[in-house]
Amino acid sequence: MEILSPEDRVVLWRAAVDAEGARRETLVRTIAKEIFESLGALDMYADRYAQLTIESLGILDDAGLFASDSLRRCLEALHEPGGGVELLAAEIAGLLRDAAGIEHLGVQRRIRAVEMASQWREHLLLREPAEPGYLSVADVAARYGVSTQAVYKWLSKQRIAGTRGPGGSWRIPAAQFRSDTRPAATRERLDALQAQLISLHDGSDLPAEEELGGQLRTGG
Amino acid sequence: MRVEFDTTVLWGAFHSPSGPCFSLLALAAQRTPVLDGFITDVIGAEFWWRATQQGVKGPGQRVARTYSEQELGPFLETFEVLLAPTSMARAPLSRSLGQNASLVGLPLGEIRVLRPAHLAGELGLIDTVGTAARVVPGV
Repeated sequence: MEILSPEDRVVLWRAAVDAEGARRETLVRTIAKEIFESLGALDMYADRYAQLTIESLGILDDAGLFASDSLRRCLEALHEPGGGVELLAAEIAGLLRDAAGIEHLGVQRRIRAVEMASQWREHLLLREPAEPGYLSVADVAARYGVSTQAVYKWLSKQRIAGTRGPGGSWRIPAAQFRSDTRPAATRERLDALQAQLISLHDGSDLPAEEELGGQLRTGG
Repeated sequence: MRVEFDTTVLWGAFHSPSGPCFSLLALAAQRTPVLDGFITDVIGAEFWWRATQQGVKGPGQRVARTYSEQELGPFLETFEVLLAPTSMARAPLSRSLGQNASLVGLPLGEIRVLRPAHLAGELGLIDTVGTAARVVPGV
């Protein structure tokens, strides 16, 4: 396995962003391969995850989110110790949730984006934490279905507690997320609801005939 | 941060499940330490009445439409945790908060009613909106 340098990965990403048509598709797949070959750290090294990676980047590209600066930063840091691959996986999950809101993708691909975000999330949360009692930025982002940038913002504004570890990565005490014991909605349920609502509003800009008739009769 | 959600936020979440309103409700419903959000009984009742009786227009919709209990069910069941009795007792005045803040027994500043986009920006859920967040009493 040949690992690209951080600079090479950014050059590759930039080339993909600037390219069009078949060349762009090829470059996006090359980046997907680079990511996929790093996923062993997440125990995701199987064919179906190669497909998940390729499909995820494809949807992000069609949604106009492949060129996100946050994705570039995570690609650059992919092989950094302290969870580079986890950060990238969490960022892809967050971007997929954003993609679910891009209407031109169509209902089926928007729902698929939610499903894939859930898959990335599950595999992040299933692995053993690097340090018992502490979470990483990727863990928190995956747990709550937000972007890694949101978690960095919570840390910088001290909305959640965290300290920098020896390597510079954040150590976030897990206990602070268990202090609220009120009933809560699970992320799985929220993902299912998101998909249901996308489906419910499919074509909802076209009023039903009886509704339109009622509006016309009342002069609405 | 303690926040009361009004029907604007509920409708925003219902119509745009990838938008900032959905993200805010989701954060609060998961009991994240960054957002203590709740819905009062009055807000819930208003949402239900508009959804089932009056009808509402979503983004891009030309006419208002109503929704069946079956269509509303998953949404309300998921976010009913925000209507928990423990939340209700803490905000009994609901929408009249602005006019009757003294009756709540809390300084107004302890309950923040912010525009959803500002709040989502503050929490990093969307790119920060240019203007500063401001308190809007009695939405």
